[in-house]
Amino acid sequence: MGSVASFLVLMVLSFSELRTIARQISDNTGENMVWMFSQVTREALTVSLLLERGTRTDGNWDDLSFRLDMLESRVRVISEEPLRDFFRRHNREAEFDAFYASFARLAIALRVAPEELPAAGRQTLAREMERLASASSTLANASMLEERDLLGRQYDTMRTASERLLASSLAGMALGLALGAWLLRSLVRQRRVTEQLQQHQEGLERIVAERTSALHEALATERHAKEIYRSFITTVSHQFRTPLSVINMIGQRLKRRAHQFTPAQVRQKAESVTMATSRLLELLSSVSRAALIDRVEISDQREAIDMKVLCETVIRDMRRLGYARPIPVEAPDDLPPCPGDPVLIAQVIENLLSNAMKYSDPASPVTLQLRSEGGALYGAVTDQGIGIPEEDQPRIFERFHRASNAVNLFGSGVGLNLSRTVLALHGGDLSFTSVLGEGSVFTFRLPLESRHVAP
Amino acid sequence: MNTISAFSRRRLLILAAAGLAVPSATQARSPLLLRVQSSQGETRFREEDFAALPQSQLRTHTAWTEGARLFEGVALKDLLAAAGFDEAALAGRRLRLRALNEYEVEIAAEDCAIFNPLLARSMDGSPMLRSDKGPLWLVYPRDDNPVLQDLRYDHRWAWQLAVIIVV
Repeated sequence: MGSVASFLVLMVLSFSELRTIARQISDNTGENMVWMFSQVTREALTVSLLLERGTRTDGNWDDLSFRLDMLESRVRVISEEPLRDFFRRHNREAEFDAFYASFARLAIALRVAPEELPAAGRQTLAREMERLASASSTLANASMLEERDLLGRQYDTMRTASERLLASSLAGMALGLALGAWLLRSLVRQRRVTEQLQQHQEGLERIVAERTSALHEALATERHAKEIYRSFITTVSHQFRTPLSVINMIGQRLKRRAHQFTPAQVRQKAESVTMATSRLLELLSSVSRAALIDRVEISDQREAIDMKVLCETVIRDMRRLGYARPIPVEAPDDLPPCPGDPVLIAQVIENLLSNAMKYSDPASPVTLQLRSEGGALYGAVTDQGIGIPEEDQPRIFERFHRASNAVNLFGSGVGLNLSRTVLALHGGDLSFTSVLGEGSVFTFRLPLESRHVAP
Repeated sequence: MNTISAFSRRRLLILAAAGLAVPSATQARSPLLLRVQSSQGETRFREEDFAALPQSQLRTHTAWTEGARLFEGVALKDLLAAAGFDEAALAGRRLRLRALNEYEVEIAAEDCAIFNPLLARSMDGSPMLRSDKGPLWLVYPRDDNPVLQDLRYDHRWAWQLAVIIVV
C-alpha cells in the first residue's frame, strides 16, 4: 500500500512539474524579446540611414517621422509590462534603463524639426542611432542566450520529470500486475475450494437420495407385504365361509326333511359335507402353515430324523384327514438319519403331497421317493397332474402366488414359499420340473451334516 | 464585444479630427487609415470613413499589455462588409495583413466569423498613435476564448495595420 502511495505522489509531482513547464513555455516572453530587439535594431539602423541620406539629398522628413514612430513603438513595447519583466528576471534592468534613456534623448532630438539641424548635427545623431542599434543588438544577443539557457533548463526539468513519470508509471503498472496476479491466484484457489465443497455436497446428496430410495423400497415392500397379507386373510376367511355354509345348509335340510330323502341322496349330501370338511381342514392347514412363519424365524429344534418314518406318519395323518389316495414311499433300507426340525419338515412333505394330490386327477398316482447322495438327502414327489405353465414356473415359490391354471382350485399360495424357506433354513433347497398337462416332480434336498443356517 | 452608442461615435469623430494634428502631417485631407485590396480593386478608408462604420468595443488582456484594456473600433467583419466582402464572399479565403513596417501575416478569413476580432482605433479612450501600436490594431477577444491564450495566435494581432489583402 505504502509503495503505491509513494508512486502516486511521484506521479503527481511529475505531472505538476510538467504542467508548470508547459505554462512557462506557453507564455514565453524571452522569444518575443529577441524578435523585438531585432526589430528595434533594424528600425534604429533605418533611421540612421535616413538621417545620412537626408544629409546628402535633403529629402522628405515625413519618412524620418514615420521611421521614428516605428522605432518608438517597438521600444515602447519592450519598456512596458509584461515584456519589461524579462530584464528584471535576468538582472539586466539597469542595462535596459540606460538604453531607454539614450533612446528617449535621441527621439526628442529628432522629433524637433530635423531639417533645421545642421548636417553635422544630423551626422552625430545618425552615429548615435547606430550606437543605439548596436546596444539593442547586444541586448538581443544577451536575451537570446538567456532564452536559450532557460529553454535548456526547462528541457532538462521536463525530461527528468517525464522520466520520473515513466518510471513511476511502470512501477505502478508492475505493482498493479503483481496485485492482479495475486488476486487471480486467490480467486483460482477460491474457485477450487468452492468446487470441492460442491462435490462434497453432491456426494452427500447422492447418499441421502440412495438412503431415501432404499427406505422407500423398504416401505413399499412392507406395504406390499401388508397388502398381500390382508388379501390373504380376506381370501381365507371368505373361503372358510363357503364350505361352512354348505355343511350348515345340508345339516339344516337333513334336520327338517330327513325322511324325504332317498339313501342315495343322503349319501350324496354326506359326500358334500365331507368334501366341505376337507376343504376346511386344508384351510386350517394353510393357516397354521402361515403361522409357522414365526417358528421358522426362531427355530432351534434339531433332531436326527428318520425320513421314511416321518413321511409315512405324514401320509397316515393326511389319510385320517380325508386324503384317500394311496401314496407309496420308496426308500432304501440304509437311508441315513437327517438332522432337522421334524415339525417343519413334516409341513414341507405335507405341502408337497397335498399339492400333488390337489393338482392331479384322483385316479392318477402320486409317489414319494427318498434317496441319499453326496452328503444330502433327496425326496422327490411325483404327480401326473395339470403341471405348471411355463410362464408361472419362475414365480411359484413366491408367497401367495397362484398359477394361472390353479385359480379355480382351492389353495392359499403360501405352501411352496414356506417349504422353501424351511428347507433353506436347514441348509437345503426345493426344486421342481414340470410339463404342462403331464405332471410335475418336486424335489427337496436336505444336508446330512447339521448345518444350522441363520434365518 | 458591444456596439457603442452614437455619443461615442461622435467622440471618435472629434478625436479623428484632432488626430489630423500629427507632427509631420501638413496635408488638409485626413490621413489614410487602411486599404482593403483584392483582385477586384481597392477600397480606401480614411479617418471619417472609419468613424462612419458601426463601432464596437472589446475589453481584454493582451500579450503586450498589463491588465485588461478597453478597445474601441470597428469589427473586422463590418469593415470588410463595407469594402464589399460579406460572409459568403469571404468563405474559404485568406486575409493578408500588412503593417506599416512591412510586417506581414496571413490569417483565415473565417477568423471574422469564429472570433470576431476588432480593428481597434483607440485603447482606454485614447486613439492609438503610430509611435505606439496605432493607428489600427487587430485585437482578438483573448479573455473570452481560452484557445487564443496561446502564443501561436499572438502573431495575428497585427499592429500598425495598413493594408488588408483579400486573397
